[in-house]
Amino acid sequence: MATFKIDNVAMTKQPSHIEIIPPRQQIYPTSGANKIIVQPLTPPTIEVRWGMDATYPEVVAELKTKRGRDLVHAISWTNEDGARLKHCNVVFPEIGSGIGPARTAVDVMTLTLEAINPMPGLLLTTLFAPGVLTVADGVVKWIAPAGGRILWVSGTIYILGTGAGGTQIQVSNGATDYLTTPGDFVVASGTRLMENQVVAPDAYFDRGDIIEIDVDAIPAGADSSTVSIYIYCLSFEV
Amino acid sequence: MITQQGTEIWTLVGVITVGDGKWPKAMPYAGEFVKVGGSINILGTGAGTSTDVQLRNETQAKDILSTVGTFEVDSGTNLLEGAVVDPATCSFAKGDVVQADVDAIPGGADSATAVIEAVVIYFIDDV
Repeated sequence: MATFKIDNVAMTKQPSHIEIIPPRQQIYPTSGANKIIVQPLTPPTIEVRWGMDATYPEVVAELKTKRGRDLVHAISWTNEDGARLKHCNVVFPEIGSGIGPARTAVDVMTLTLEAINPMPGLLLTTLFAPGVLTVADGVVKWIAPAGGRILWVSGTIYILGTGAGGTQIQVSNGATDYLTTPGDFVVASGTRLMENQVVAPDAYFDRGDIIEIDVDAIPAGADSSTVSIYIYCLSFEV
Repeated sequence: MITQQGTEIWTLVGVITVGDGKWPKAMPYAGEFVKVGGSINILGTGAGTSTDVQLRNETQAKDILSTVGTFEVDSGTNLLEGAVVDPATCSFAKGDVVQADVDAIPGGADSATAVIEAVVIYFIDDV
């Protein structure tokens, strides 16, 4: 049986049937008794059906819990080869139940989910600063191709350096700092990963903004070197 | 929660040597690996014939590739070849550290500067 997940968590009550229903073709007759067939470029509908082995109230209860108050969710199900999962963003209708002709009946239930392409979409940017680092603003720059919001910033340093202190990184657009707490590469780090960084809740940027990496501090040995900063954004244009 | 696709990059800087944890990266969300590729600036020379790269989920102590990717010394493209994502280990959790391990280098020990790119699916839980 295929695995069906909502928001990357498998359902206890697995459906018996999942079907992708493409958007209906539009057919226009022409004067010459021919037809013009138009395939809409809209996402499909996903039909998820629970069969006779899954009792209706239990499925409804689980779906209500997983939906919560959020309209958009990610669903996943096992691919045709049985090894991988397909993933899809869907609009999840509010789930309810009524009393049917017989309350003890074990019913078949079908949930119809409209697939969507969520906007804004994810945009990953890696800013790479090779060589020995010195304190300076704008050591690497990136021109934002569209407006967006920074979700998360992380980084890896190749050589941590020596001495007191550490390498401290800020991400800004030249005027506004996006990290309320800058990221640190501590000399004694066992992972060489950025630590302590906190992204501002309103870390928005506009199309054409120059996003830059500022080195705010370096270790006393002045020998930290070569850093990659990863910026995860929602892009308002994809 | 929405699911989105992205490309993660691991950079192997300078002359490449055999070893684990060359370029650790903390994954910002839960997700799974789909495909892995890459390119190398200098292929290197000598017997041994390739620079072999594995992606490893250090947090879960699992190799992500069932077949490691190789930069062959005689490559005509400088691209990573043969990398196969293991469907049994491709999933990762938020915060898992994934690193590039170099399992082999050419006899000349002179391959250098490579970029490993992985197509990943993320489950974004904060939008």
